[in-house]
Amino acid sequence: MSVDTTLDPVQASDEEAPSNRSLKILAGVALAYAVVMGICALLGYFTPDHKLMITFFMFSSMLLLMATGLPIAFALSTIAIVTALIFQPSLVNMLLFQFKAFTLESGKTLIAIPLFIFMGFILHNSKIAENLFDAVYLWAGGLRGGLGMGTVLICAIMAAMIGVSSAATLSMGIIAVPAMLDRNYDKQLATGMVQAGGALGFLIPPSMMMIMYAFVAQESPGRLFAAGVVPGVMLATMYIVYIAVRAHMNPEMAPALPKDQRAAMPEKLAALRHLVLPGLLIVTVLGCIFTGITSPTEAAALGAGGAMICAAFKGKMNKKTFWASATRTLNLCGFNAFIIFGAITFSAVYSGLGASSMIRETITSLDVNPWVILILMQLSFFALGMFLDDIAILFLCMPIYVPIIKALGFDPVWFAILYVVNMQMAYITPPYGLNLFYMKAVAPPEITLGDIYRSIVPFLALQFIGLVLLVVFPQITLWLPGFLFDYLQMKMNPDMLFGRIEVLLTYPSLVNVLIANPALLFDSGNLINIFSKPEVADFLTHSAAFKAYVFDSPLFTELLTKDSWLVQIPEIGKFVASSPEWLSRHPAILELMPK
Amino acid sequence: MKDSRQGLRRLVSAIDTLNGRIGAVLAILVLVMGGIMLYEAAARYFFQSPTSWAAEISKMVFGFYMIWAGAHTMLAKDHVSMDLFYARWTPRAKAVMDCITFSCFFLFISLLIYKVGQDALFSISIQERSNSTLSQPLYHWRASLVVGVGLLFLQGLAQFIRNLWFALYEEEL
Repeated sequence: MSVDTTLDPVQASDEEAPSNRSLKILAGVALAYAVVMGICALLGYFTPDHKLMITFFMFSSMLLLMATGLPIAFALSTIAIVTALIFQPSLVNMLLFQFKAFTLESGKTLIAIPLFIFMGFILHNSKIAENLFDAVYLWAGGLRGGLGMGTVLICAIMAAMIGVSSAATLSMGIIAVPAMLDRNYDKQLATGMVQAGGALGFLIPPSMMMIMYAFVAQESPGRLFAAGVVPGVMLATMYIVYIAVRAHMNPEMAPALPKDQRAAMPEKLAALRHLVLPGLLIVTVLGCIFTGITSPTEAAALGAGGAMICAAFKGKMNKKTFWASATRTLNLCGFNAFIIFGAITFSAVYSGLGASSMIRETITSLDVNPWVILILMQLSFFALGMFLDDIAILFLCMPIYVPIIKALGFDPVWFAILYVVNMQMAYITPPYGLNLFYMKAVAPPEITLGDIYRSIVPFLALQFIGLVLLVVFPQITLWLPGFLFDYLQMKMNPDMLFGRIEVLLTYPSLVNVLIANPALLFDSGNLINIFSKPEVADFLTHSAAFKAYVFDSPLFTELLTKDSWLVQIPEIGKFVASSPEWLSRHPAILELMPK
Repeated sequence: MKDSRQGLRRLVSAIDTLNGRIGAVLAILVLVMGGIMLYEAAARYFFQSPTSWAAEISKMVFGFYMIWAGAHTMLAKDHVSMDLFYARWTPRAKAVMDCITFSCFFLFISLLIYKVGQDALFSISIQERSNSTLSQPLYHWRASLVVGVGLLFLQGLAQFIRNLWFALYEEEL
């Protein structure tokens, strides 16, 4: 998220003197653009029937307007309104519809955003980054490249505490980069890892972007959070391995601390004491979400409250911490509100003109491999990410892309993770790579913009490899959410299983949950639910354990006798018929069977 | 126009102060939202009596908070823009460009106020209530959102006056 200018009010400043050359170029481009559009209008292309014209007009004028420095949120809304006025004035009412929907309906999911942001700022203001770095310095300093590997680890941990990304880039840029340079680390290695590590905040839960995706795609935020864990850890591990390999091959690049600066065990342990409570807090918050004990929004509230308690234990919970955190949360939310509103209005107008359904139909009717479409979408994310804010991309593209993804039979949760990894790449790719700007803003003066640009190349390559791995092996992403939400939560809450019985096909051992809950199983409503899906009915008919248990239970006989219509349901009838031996012992039920 | 400097300065700083004070009150709302969610979780787990109001009220507080936050965000210059080119321009060029793009902001906000305002008036006229079992009144809340957008408009206006002054006289207002 591009939002973290609020974290430390630093401006992305270039050292070059102000120059209006780009302004003149921009004016020229705008003039030429106006002429081209004028010609198109004269030729009669400005009607709602020319969907391609609409697409081109909306996206190109959006980019042009944003180049003027108008906040992205207002640029999006303006283009939405202007487009509506030109093509179909009644669509201006989208402003009202989207405003009403956003203010009243989005809160159900999005209320987690201010709470998680607040939690992050409180932890940040209670100097969590400094504590983490002290611990890493003492524990990993003795290893070759240890400080660097530890910095990546800190970025990953901070990602779990502070859902807005770039928080890690800014604080590690201030704390870790100078410390590494003092220890003669290679400039590019030191800055590159901080930028790439900082971007992990998107992937490792709680992540603001996942909450927003959950809102747009109507997915469960908890599932998305769980999906980000393994890919996030995987990427962090790739960075750490990369640093270790480089440090091993070339010790000059990332030297270990000299022996006399290494710490003794008591000192090392003491450095950890500030991390115990925040660590517990994160485990609790994520644990509550993953086990389904609370909803993600309630867990966010728990996190916000817990963060204040953590800060209080450190003696940092004073007026200054509170007001700084609360005000920054407010500013960030105001920005989020209007950019979300702008982007959903933009895409509502775009859809309202029929352009997005045109694109959807064109794509789904294309006779190409679905993977080609998926890869094209990834490329479009990467290309847009070079110019546009990630929240804007999310709210612009997802309403168009997610239905296509579902129609092609891909998993939208998996798609979200691909998108997020892509945005990580966008964050460290010029020209609009926010982590580059943050890095430049906080880096020591001896680091030039050229150093920063070159420093990201290996990490960009690693992210790309990670993205390819995630595309090729969807299990990396989907294993954990499946395990938590389709298996563990079902084991914990058997009554949920009866509503989502198809998970049995993925996790056959859940049959034991059915067996362990006879009161739920031998209920006519639930029994119908279980046998309502032909695949599941087929699976149960072939499950020896299930059959042995059911045909052995007097409750089953009782239920079938009481609700005699049950065997009339084809799937249940077939199931009962699969045990002729049992039927012969129960002539009363044999009587009821459909002939 | 230079004679009006004192008056303009007073107007602009009055708007800043207003939004600054409102922002300080609004900032506390994050605790209210957290409190409602925690209360709901506690009521469900420890007292076995989930509330009927928490979900709806928290959504309304959220909507209010997000919309009203816009003005304070603008005061703090935290509405992110793509300043790839913008950052390189001279201060005066920036001020001139901001004055030009203010027309976009003006178009958007005035249309929004008009549309949402009309809807709020309608909502008041029918004494709108939420269509849930709770059926609490919604119309005050709808009207309050219009005020929030109005505050954002005021803040944009203050920024515009400042930029215009700088564009014209090349000095801070």
